[in-house]
Amino acid sequence: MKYIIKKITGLIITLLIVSILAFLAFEVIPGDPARTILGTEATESKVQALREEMGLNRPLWERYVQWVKDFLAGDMGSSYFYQIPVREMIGDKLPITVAMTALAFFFTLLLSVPVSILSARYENHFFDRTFLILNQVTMSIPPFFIGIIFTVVFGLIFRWFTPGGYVSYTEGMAAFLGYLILPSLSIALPKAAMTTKLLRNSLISEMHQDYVRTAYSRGNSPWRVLVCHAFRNGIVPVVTFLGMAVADMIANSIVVEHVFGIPGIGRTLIGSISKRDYPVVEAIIVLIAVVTLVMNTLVDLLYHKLDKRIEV
Amino acid sequence: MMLKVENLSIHFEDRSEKEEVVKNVSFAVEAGDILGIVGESGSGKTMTALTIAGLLKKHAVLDGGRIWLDDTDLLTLSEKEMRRIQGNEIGMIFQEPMTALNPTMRIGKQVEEALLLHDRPWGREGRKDSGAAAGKKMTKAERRQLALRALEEVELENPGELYRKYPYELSGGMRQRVMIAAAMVCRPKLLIADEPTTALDVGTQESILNLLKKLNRKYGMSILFISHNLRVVNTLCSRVLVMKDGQTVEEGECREIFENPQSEYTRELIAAIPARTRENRYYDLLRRKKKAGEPFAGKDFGSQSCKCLL
Amino acid sequence: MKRKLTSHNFILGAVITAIMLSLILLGFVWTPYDPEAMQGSLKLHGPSLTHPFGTDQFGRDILSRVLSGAGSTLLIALGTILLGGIIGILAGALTGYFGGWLDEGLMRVNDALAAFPSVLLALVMIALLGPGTYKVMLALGIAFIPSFARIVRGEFLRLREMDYVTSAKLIGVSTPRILFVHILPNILPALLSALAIGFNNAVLAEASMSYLGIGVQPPDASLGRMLSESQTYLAGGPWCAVFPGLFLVLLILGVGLLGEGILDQFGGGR
Repeated sequence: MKYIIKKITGLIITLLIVSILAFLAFEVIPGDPARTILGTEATESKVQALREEMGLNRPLWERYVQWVKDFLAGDMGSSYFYQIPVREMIGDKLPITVAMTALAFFFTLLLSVPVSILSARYENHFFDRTFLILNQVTMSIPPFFIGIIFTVVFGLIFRWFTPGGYVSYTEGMAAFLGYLILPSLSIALPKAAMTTKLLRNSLISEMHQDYVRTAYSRGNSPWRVLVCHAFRNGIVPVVTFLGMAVADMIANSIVVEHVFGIPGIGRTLIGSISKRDYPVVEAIIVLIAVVTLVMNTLVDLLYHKLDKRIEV
Repeated sequence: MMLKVENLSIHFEDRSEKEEVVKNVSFAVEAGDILGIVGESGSGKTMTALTIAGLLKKHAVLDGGRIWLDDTDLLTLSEKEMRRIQGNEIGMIFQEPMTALNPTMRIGKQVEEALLLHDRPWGREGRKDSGAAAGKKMTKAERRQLALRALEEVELENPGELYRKYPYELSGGMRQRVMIAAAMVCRPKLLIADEPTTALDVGTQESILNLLKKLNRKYGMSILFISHNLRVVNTLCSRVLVMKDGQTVEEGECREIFENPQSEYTRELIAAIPARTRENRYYDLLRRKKKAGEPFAGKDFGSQSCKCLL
Repeated sequence: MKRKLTSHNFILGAVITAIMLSLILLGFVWTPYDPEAMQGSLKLHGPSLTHPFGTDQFGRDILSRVLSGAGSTLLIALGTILLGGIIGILAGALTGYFGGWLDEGLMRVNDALAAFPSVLLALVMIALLGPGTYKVMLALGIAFIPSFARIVRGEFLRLREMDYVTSAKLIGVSTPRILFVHILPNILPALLSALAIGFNNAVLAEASMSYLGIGVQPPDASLGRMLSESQTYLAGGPWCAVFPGLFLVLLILGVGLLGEGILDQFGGGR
């Protein structure tokens, strides 16, 4: 229990730091938002009026507190460019990116767990050696390049899907998810390769531990030892890795969305960056940061649940 | 004759160098007997024990010999058949209680694991052919009951609480008892103990040895006790086998061996036991004085050293 | 310290990396054709003897463009690990060795940033500073600092307890000397390995950002942008995408193997 409290307090402190950094980065550095909104032709009085309206003349810490309060309430400001609330802009796009990331995570586990177990079981045999090479190569391929290859192979050669033929979830969940499979796989494959490598090594290392010999002495078969004993111990370092991997997957999904023409927040983010539409960029980045940090804390808590000895 | 080892020979195939580890070893353990195997490290005693338990690693090669458990030659059994014996007819406990238990698995689950794998209520009635389930499958509750009883038998308090704990919450001595409970839960005929007390402090050592003696008497379970410590072997075992460099040197009743060691090596081993030295005699003297309440002469010698002499 | 070269990873990694680096360095001084030269008559020709990687939609030789683009990639990746590496080592060494409130404070901030993928941090900086080769290098360099500093700190933390460090302190060796002459050489394999990983992350990040259009800008060449441009012509000329991508893969593969190989071969100072 003490551990949980410690972790959650840590999370809150880190979130605070992130929010301060984000605030400083986007609200303070870029210059006068009022001027940006009104454009270069605006008169001085109009700019000042808008500044008053937006509360830009208030002291910094006051603005910060206001910003945090607004954010927690769901108000993430308005786009400089489109003059609509950021919330509206990204509201319908967020679930898509989330779905893709979740799918990618799922595929990563689906692929890496069986392969690792088999590799560990048949250490140094044909299966293991083949995958050793396969993994090393796969983890070196940029996800968006995998996406392009998929497009060529499955879209153009086999014609299993139409590149760019994104289906919204409003038109049918099955088709929506179906279209997301290849993009998610593009993200998942390199991560699965890394995970497999890590997990395989961890499992093999566990199999050399004393408690494994004890397990054999009770009559466990090699499979049972691997799955029921070694796995639970071996998965611990992998859990940390997977926690960090989620953030990476979010980053990758931004790029992969472009390959397949998926209207997630990636497109919005990039567009906003080009247009210097800071409120949007800020909101998206902060959201991603929050998700990342929460995921990491969840991972730490899961860590503790798996192996009660872990204190830090 | 419950366990009989005949001409067992094993070597290591380590980078095309043949290293003989066990050479032509033969001995026997009667039902209900406690045999100690004594030797220095490298004498082959642990390898012999592991071979009997079926835990030989891949790079160790069997050169010949037989291991009879009643009327079955264990060395002729397939892996699957041997698994039916492990944890069931033969139990084993190891040296390092700190690492020999799975750190992420609860004590209760580890103790009852053998029951799950062999699925037999205890008692020799079910033991018609090793592995065949005699009677119905055990329920989870039944297994738990037997596990709790096993924990009681190894003199652990509050088995109910212990059941849910993890190994790191227990002391070394307690963990060793848990290992014994887990190894015995199917009432094996033979318990192989590979230096189980070496990693424990002397007081705990004594209590574990007493426990093993008690279990041996209560259930007629034979024990094969591996150690490099002659004194410990003397305390526990009825018979002893001395090994050196992979070969048997001497075998016999404990008292015989200690009073009339036949081989030079055995004599050397016995002589190496820290005997009563002059310092020891003074120790006895001080203890007697303390008991009688006599004061100690000399400055600053008395009060502090006194406490530690207990 | 002569040790037999046993690590497959190291050998393979070194070989591949050496090949790729030589090609890229060659590309700095000479390419078969001018990467920008358009030859209208040769639009979208597949790989041939005169154009081993084929030509793109403007008739430009892809091999030359790949070499040129890889040059940008290399520059940025090296710049990243140099920038991030130097600052990271300083930060990690000071916090790891001295600890105290400086350590606590910096590490809190560090953790806030380390979990964040470098691409996103770089995006933030690009958003504020605008795109361009050197800005990308700065952004990625800064993004690299947190994870690298954490590793350096961990190593210094571990080694400051070692006996030879304690002995050196007792003799009266000055602190900077302890840090750089005693400890640093022993953690070098771990650091080099981390630098290799950082390099690969930078390559990936740069390629992603250029692909999205906010990285290296024209006229500077970039593999990422080549991939982005090639997407419209995938049906007619898949080689426009395949070769740049393959080059990236080989580069990342080589450096990755090398990083692992260094750990295999030279241990971690353990």
